[in-house]
Amino acid sequence: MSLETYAVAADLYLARGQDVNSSRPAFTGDAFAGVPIPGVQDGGMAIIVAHPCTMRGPEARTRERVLVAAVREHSPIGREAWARGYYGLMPLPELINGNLHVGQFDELGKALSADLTTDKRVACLSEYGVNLLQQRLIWHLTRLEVETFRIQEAFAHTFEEADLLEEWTETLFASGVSPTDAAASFEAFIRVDHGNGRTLQ
Amino acid sequence: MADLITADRTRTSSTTEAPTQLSRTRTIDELVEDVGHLRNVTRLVGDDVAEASRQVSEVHHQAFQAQLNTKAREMAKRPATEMLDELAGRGFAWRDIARLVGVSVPAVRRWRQGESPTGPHLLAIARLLAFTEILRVDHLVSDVAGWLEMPLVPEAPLTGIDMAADGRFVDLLDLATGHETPEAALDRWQPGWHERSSSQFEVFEAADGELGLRPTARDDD
Repeated sequence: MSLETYAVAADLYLARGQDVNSSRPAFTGDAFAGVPIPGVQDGGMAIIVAHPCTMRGPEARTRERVLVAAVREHSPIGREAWARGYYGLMPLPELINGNLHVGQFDELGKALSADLTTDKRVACLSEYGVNLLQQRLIWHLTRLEVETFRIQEAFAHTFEEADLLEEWTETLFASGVSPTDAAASFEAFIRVDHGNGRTLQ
Repeated sequence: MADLITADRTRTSSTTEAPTQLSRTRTIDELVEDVGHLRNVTRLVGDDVAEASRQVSEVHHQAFQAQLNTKAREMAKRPATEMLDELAGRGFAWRDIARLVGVSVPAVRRWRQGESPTGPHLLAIARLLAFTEILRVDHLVSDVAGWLEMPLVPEAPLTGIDMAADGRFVDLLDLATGHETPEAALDRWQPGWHERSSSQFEVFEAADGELGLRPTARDDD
C-alpha cells in the first residue's frame, strides 16, 4: 500500500493568497479561514472535502451546508512520508507563510456555505491536489486505494466546469452581473437540452 | 563430404529467351561458409540501415526543433495577450496553457489582464503557439487542443498535453507525422508506463447520470 505524494508544493495548488480568483466558484479543495464547523471548531481554517457533484443544488447554487475538514498548522513532515503514513491528514505544504498545514479527516463536519465566502478563501487546490485529497479521503474512510488518474478520469469534467464558470463569472461580473446570477445563467446555459437529453454539461 | 548439395539458380530475363540454367555442385562445408558469410553481410547491412535510420531521425528532430524555434521567434514579436487569446481560441484551457508554459494559472490571468511576461515566458508562449501552428498547417491536425488532450494509448492516462508539458514537442511531431508509434514514444519517455497504468477500478455512469468509480469487472464474473 502506497498512496501518491506531490513532487513540489506548487503541484497541489491552483492559487494561494492574493492569487485566488474571487470569480472562481467554491469547489472541492478550497481552503477558507474563519469557518465554524458544528461540533468541531468555532472558527479557524477548513477545507472543502465534499465531491463537487454533492455540493451544489439547483441553478448551481452551493448547498446550505458543505462537508469540510478542519485545517491546522502542523510540524514539518517530509514529502515522502505522505505515501506511507499520516493517512488521516491531507498535506497542505506552504499553505500560509511557507508553513505546513494539514486537513484533518478526523475533524469533519458540515459548515454553512454562507461561511465559505470568497473573501475568506485562502487557497484553491489544483486538479492534482483535489485528486490527491480524494485519494487520501477515500483511503481514510474505506481503506480502498484508488489511483489518482482514475479519480481524475471521473472528476475532470467537474474541474472543467469550474474553470468555465470562473471565466463566465469574471466576464459577466465586469458587466455588473452578480456572481450568484452569473452562476445561475451558466448553469442554465450548460443544461439546455440539445435534443435527446443531450446537454453541454 | 562431397557432392551432397546441388544448388540451382535461375536468372530471369526480360527477353523471350529461356533463362540460363546455372548448376554446380557444392559441399556442405562450402554451403555453411557461404550462407554464414551471407548472414554476416545482411546483419552488417541491417546494422548500417538501422544506424542510418537513427542518424536521419536525429537530423529530422533537429530540423523539427529548428523549425519550431524559428517560428517561435517570429511569433514572439506579437503581444502576449494576442497569442494567449489565439491559444484559447484554439481550444486550450487556461490551466493547460499555464502548464504548457510552465507557470501558474494566476500568472496567465495576470498576462491576460495586460501584465508583461518575462522574456523566457514570452518565448514559451510563442513556442506553444508555433507548435500548434505546425501541427495545424503542416500535419493537418485540425483540432490541436483536442488531439493533445487524447490519451496517447487507450490503456494509459498519459496525454499529449502531459508530453508537451515535459517539453517533448519533437516527440509529438514524430507522432503526428506517423514516424513513431505512441507505444514507442511512451517507452522512451515513461519507461514502465504500462505497469503504472494498471488499475482495479473503472469509471462508469451511475444511475443519477454522474460518473462514478467501481472495481473493474473480472472475466469470471
